[in-house]
Amino acid sequence: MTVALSPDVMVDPERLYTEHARALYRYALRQCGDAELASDIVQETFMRLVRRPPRDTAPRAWLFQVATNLAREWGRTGVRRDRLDRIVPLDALHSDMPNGPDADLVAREDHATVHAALSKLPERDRTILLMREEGFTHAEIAAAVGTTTKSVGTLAARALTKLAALLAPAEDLP
Amino acid sequence: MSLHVVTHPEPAMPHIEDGDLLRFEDAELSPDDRARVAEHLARCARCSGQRAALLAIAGRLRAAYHDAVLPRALATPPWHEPRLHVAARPARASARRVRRTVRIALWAGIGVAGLAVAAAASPPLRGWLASRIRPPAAPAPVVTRVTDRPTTGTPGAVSRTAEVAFVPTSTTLTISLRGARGDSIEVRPTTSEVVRVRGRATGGEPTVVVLPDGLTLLSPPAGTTAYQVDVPPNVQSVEIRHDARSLARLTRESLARQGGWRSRLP
Repeated sequence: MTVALSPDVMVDPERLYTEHARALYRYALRQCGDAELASDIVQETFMRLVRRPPRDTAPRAWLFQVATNLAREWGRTGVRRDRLDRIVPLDALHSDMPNGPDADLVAREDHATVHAALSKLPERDRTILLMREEGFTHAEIAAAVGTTTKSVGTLAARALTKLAALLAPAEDLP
Repeated sequence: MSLHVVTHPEPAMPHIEDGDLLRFEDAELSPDDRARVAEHLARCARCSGQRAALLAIAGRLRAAYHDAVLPRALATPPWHEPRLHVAARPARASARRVRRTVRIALWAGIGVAGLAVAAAASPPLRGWLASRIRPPAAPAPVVTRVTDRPTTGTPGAVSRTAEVAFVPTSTTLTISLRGARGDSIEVRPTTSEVVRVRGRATGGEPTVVVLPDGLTLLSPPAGTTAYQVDVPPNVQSVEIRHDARSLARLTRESLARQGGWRSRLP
């Protein structure tokens, strides 16, 4: 299945899904800290790609921008959670938690510590750091958060310093 | 003759700003600036220490969820598998209950009696009272069986049928459907109290109404309490409205709610 990006450019959602779904899920998980919400974000992002593909933005950057917007909208007010009862197919009763029951308890606690600190950063700082971790260029990050390319390095460094300060008190606890 | 040599210490090189340290890490500096920073880092313990501190925090961030596994629900793109989402909400309070409430209020006191009298005379106020009477919650719908079978014409595709049991007389059953553009769902009524979800990708009966959002409806005979819809492999969930209202009314409501699809399910 392909959809038109423009009259001359075609986007292959299948290929994009294969290439970016995992990274997008990881990004959404770091943004919101909730596996179920992150899964919803990824699904909705790719459905939007199919329904209304981007015209002037590179697909990968577009995917992460949409996911960022969804994490903000859905994570903030919980409006996405006007859930009706969910019905799980009888043949699909498996845990979808990313770390599963055998995951390292220490690793999960550290994830929670880092996420708690991340969630206290301003949204722009958090997005800059997380997009940087996903390998986006400073120009792409600047376009996503609405700043100049030259300032991304400075903003990222300040955000890391803030993150360090937020993590430091937790390190000192017995 | 003696040679008088005067040496001047080189001016101290300013430290590298944190922003430039990250730009250096991210290969965002020009070649000349990159070489300057690299040379400075080789000679300056303060800046190389600061660089290490920034990278350490970035490393903590990278480690968080780095090993996150794609959950089963995301193993395939959302447009691959049919998904089902079923919900129920209680029907609106009946007029009889409103009248009973008014009768009780008449005996409760002057202020409330006045309200009751006003309600009896005023349809809007009666409606307001009715909106606050909550009928008992209906039992939640239950998926009793889900079966997949191959469909002809599309290799590897399956049609998923879900049987959902619900209490038809006191619930509005909503099953959300969403899929790729062009899909339509054929809805057939049954006389049993079990809803079968069945639909197909294209086409429809002459009596079918195809809505812009892809939902196709058939007018149910009087007394029908269930709908039957197959879920094609490239749809995500199914939406049917059933609350004993007419097809026309359902059509207008579905049009009004276009874009209100709910994505669903693991």
